[in-house]
This record gives sequence, structure tokens and C-alpha cells, in this order.
Amino acid sequence: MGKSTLIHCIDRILTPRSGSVRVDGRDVSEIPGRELAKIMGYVPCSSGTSFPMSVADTVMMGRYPHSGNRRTEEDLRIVHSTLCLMSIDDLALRSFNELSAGQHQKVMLARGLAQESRILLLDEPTANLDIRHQMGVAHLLRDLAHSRGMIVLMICHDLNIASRYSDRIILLSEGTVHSDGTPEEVLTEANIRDVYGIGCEIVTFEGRPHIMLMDNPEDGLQVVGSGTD
Amino acid sequence: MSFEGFEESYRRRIRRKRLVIAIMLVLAAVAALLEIALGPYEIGFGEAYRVFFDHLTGVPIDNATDEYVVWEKNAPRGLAVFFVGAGLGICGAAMQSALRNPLADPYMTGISSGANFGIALASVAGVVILPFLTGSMGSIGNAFVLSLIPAAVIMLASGFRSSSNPTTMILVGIAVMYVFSSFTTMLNLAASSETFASVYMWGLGTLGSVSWDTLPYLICATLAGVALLSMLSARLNILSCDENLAVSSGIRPKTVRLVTIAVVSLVTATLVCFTGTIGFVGLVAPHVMRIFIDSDNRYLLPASAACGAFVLAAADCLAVEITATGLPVGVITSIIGGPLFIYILVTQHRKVWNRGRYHEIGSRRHHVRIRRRGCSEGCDVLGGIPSVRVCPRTQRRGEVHANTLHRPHPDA
Repeated sequence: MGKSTLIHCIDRILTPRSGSVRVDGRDVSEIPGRELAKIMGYVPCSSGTSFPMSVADTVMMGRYPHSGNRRTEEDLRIVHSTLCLMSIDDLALRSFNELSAGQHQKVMLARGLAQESRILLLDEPTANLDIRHQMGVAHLLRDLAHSRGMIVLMICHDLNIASRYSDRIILLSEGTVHSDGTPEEVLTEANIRDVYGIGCEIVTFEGRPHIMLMDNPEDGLQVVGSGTD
Repeated sequence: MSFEGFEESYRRRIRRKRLVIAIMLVLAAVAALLEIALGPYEIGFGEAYRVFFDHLTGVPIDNATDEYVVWEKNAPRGLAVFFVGAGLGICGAAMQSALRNPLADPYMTGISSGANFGIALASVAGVVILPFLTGSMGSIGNAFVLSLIPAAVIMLASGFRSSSNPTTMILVGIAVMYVFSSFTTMLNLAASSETFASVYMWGLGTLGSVSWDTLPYLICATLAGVALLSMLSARLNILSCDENLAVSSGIRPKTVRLVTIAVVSLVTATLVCFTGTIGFVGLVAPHVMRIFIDSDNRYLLPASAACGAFVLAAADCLAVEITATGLPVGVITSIIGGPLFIYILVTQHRKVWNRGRYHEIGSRRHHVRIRRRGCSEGCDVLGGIPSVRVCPRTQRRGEVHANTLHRPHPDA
């Protein structure tokens, strides 16, 4: 709860009622818009648009903070390399709305990467992907974070994906930070029961904690509806 | 794909967009030039152009009536058609992107209702808002000032809100439009039948009254609109994609929207007060262009201008030829444009701004349309029949993916 709101506050899409967000000691509300966009990129939950452009032009939008209305050779090069990185270069000239939901997600991610910001905020980037692509994207993001020294802040509902690929997990519950630390510190049986009200067993697999969920009807947890947002 | 290959195909795509714009401009220019020889006045085709070029080069012309009709009536009309159409086209495209609404057009903010009220105010009540203007310019001044009021109300109303919701803006525009229409109706009730007829005729939208004196206003308005809106193209692209994305890219959605509305209103108000309400061009031109080039505003804006110029020029050619006295061009754009637009929507348009389409399994279209691979859009049940949602254009004839859900063949 409050995940998207938190990311929106960090990226100044929303103004927090109290407190402040600082990047390198500077309050984000004092950084001019396009300058902030060079520091921080944001990838929304993808959706179809009424007015689709080609994939290349959609990714090109990420160059706006750098180039404005112009399109330079360098922009084209960066667009091409991010398309290759997401392995959607063969879709470059297709219309955005012809693609599947998973491909939309990849295009929006490529747009975020083309922005070449040091911090990347992602709102459920793996939501519409199958497990193979979920892992592919999460793997890629971790590698980018490590090789380019980026900070990738990503909302993720899949605890196992989060555990496997992240260096640090922040567990939110009812609008506050419940726990914050390495996957081993955060993903414990007690925390999962606390936040989700579900029993589980933590199994360490390939050096990372994995969650085995238990179905315990005696908990008296009544599932009224699905969806966690 | 290598960078060279990517760059080559990307540049080829851009060349194609430029070509489309150039073709539309040439078509528009041809249609606008045709105007010189058309109209109720009987003059031969070659004769009309001879008079036109003689006047242009300063050769004396013996027939004064020929010269008057060709040079004073038809030539400014041809130019006006080009610039008014271009202005309406680009304003429509910008409005659609800024409000994220495919139904938006330049009159969205209630401009025509305001202008009509201004004309009625001058003709019926004799009230002239700008007292330094006299005669017909007085009522034109009225139309201009009052047509900007709905836009001002929209901008003020959204000023009180922290966010700029395009739906609210549209609804405020509609509300103001109703208020102005009622005022106009009230004034018209008090009017004599001749005055009422003149107010009504004014609202129809015709280019017949354009002269060399009024032409500069139209040209300046359109050129200013093209220049200003083109500067917004990259911002409009991001804004029409996702509002949060726009904020995070360093764009202020509300400012971009208000600037767009202000520019569109000023341009359209100028056009409307000399020509009346010419509908449809501003709505259709951007949509037709979206089919040929996609929705990238960098090219969509100039293309819509060119297409608007062509549509209006072609419609006006018909308007002046179709009856002895000439029809208002607004009538032609709607009568011919409407069915044509529906045809385009039905046959072409879905691929332009719809996400997918449904075909029932087993139907003829299903078999030819179904996607070759990765039917990731999933299966749905429509009317009790499992149907595969497929994406347009990626489909290959006759090829069916192994995982698609099939209704068993009756003979099987």
C-alpha cells in the first residue's frame, strides 16, 4: 500500500504533505524539471495510448530532457542501444499499440533507460511479463545497476523475484516502512505474517531466501477480494 | 539489427512522413489554385489564369469585371482556403494531443458559440465591444473577443484546481457553450427576420467574404499557430502518452495544456471571425494523417495543417461549383466528410488508435486475421463463443497459432 504514491513523491509527481525528498543533499522540489529528469527517470505502469507512435519514437521520448524538440544522431544511437538491450530492436518501427502488454512494458522500460538518468524508478515493471521475461528484465536491471552504478528502485509484488535480484528490500505496510534491509533481513517468516497475514517457510536457494507460501485456513484469514493495491 | 540498419530504416520512415506532408501540400496548393477559375462567374479556365498572371506581372487587362472577379474575389479566396484549412488542421491535432481526446477539435473550447453571440450582439443589440472598430469590423471584433471568453473560463476554472484534468476542461467548455448559445437564442428571438437571417448566415462558415484586406489576419494567425504549436510538439508527445511521465520528464502538463488552449483559441478565434464556423476539418485532418503517418506530433502537426488545407480547398471548390450561388463550405465539409470519415474509421482507423480487436473463432475473418505467433492478448468469451483477441497488422493470412482456442469444427 502506498508504493506508487511513494515513487510519485520521490519523482515529484506528487508533493508530499510533510517531509522532503533529497537527492545528493538537494531537495527535489528545488531542482528544475528537466534537470531533475536527467537525474531521475520514471517508468509508469504501461498502458495503451489513444495516439500511438512507433516504438522508436516512443523510446525517443526518453531523450526529451536532453534534447527537447531536436533529435540528434546521438539520440538515435542511444535509442537503438536501449532497444537492443531490451531485445526489441526488431520492433523498432512497429506501432506501439500493435504490441502485446509485455512488449509495451519493455518499450516503456527502454524509454526509461534512454533517459540515461542515474536513478530509475519503476512502477511494477514486471507486471505484464511471463516468468521468463520477468527474470530477464529483473536480471538486466540488476546488471545495469551494478555496471552503470545506477540506483534502480522498483515496485515488485513477487517476493521471490525481489529477493533474487535486489540488494535491498523495503517492505511497506499500511503506508509506512515495515522493514528495510537486505533480502535476508527483510524476508522473514515473521515479517511476511505481519504484513500479508500469510504463513510461509523461508528456503534458501542459490544463496537467496525464497518464500514457500502455506495455506493455513486456521489463520481465519478471509479472502474478500483479490488484488493488493 | 545493426545501428546502421536501424538508422537507415528510421530515416526512411521519416522521409516517408515528409513525403506525405509534401504530397498533401502540393494537393492543397493545386486545389487552392483551382479556386481562381471556379465560381458562379462565367470565365474560361485558361482565361482566368491568364488574367491572374497578367495582373501579377502588371500587364493591363481590358475586361475590368474579369479582373475584379479573378483578382479581388477568387485569388484571396484561394489563399484564404489554404491558410484557414491549415490553421484548423493544426489546431485540431494540437487540441487532440493536449487533451488526450480523439474527439477534440479547434472549437472544443466553445469558440463558435462565443463568436456567434458576438455577431448577434452587434447585429441585433447594436453593442460593439471594441468601440474603435466601425462597420463590419465592429461585429468581427465582437466575435473575436467573445469567442475567447469560453477559453478564458476554462483556463480560470482549471486555475482553481491543482491538477489539469482534460475531461474537466472539455466539460467546462461544453457548459460555457450552452450558456452562450442560450444568450444568442434570446437575442435572436428579439431580432427582425432579416437580422436573424444575417446572423444565421454568418454562422454557417463560408469563405466568400474574404478579401485582400482581411487575408493578412488569416495568414498571420495560421503562421503564428504553426510556429507556436510546433515548438510544443515534443511536449505534446509525452503529454498524450502519460501524464505522470510528462511530469517526471520535466514538463508541466497544466502549463502545456493552457498554452495549447490559448494558442488554439487565438488562432481559431481569428479564423472564425472572418469565416464563421467551418466544422469537421479540424477533427478529420489529424485523424486521416494519423493513418498515413503515426501520432508523432513533430510530423503530425505539419501534416494535419497540410491535410486541413487540402480538405478545405477541395470542399470549397465543390462548394462554389455545386450550385449557381454557391453553398457554404461548412455544409460540404460535413456532407462529404462525414460519410467518408465513417468509412475511414471502419476500414482503417482501428489500427490507428485501438489496442486490439475481436474476431469470433471460426468466422471467416478469424481465419485470415489471426496472429501468427504469440496471441498474448489472451482469449475471451464473446456471446458464448471463445474468441481470440488479436492485434492488427501483425496477422498473417491463414496462419493459426497452436495455442489459440478453437471451436471444434462441426464435422469433427
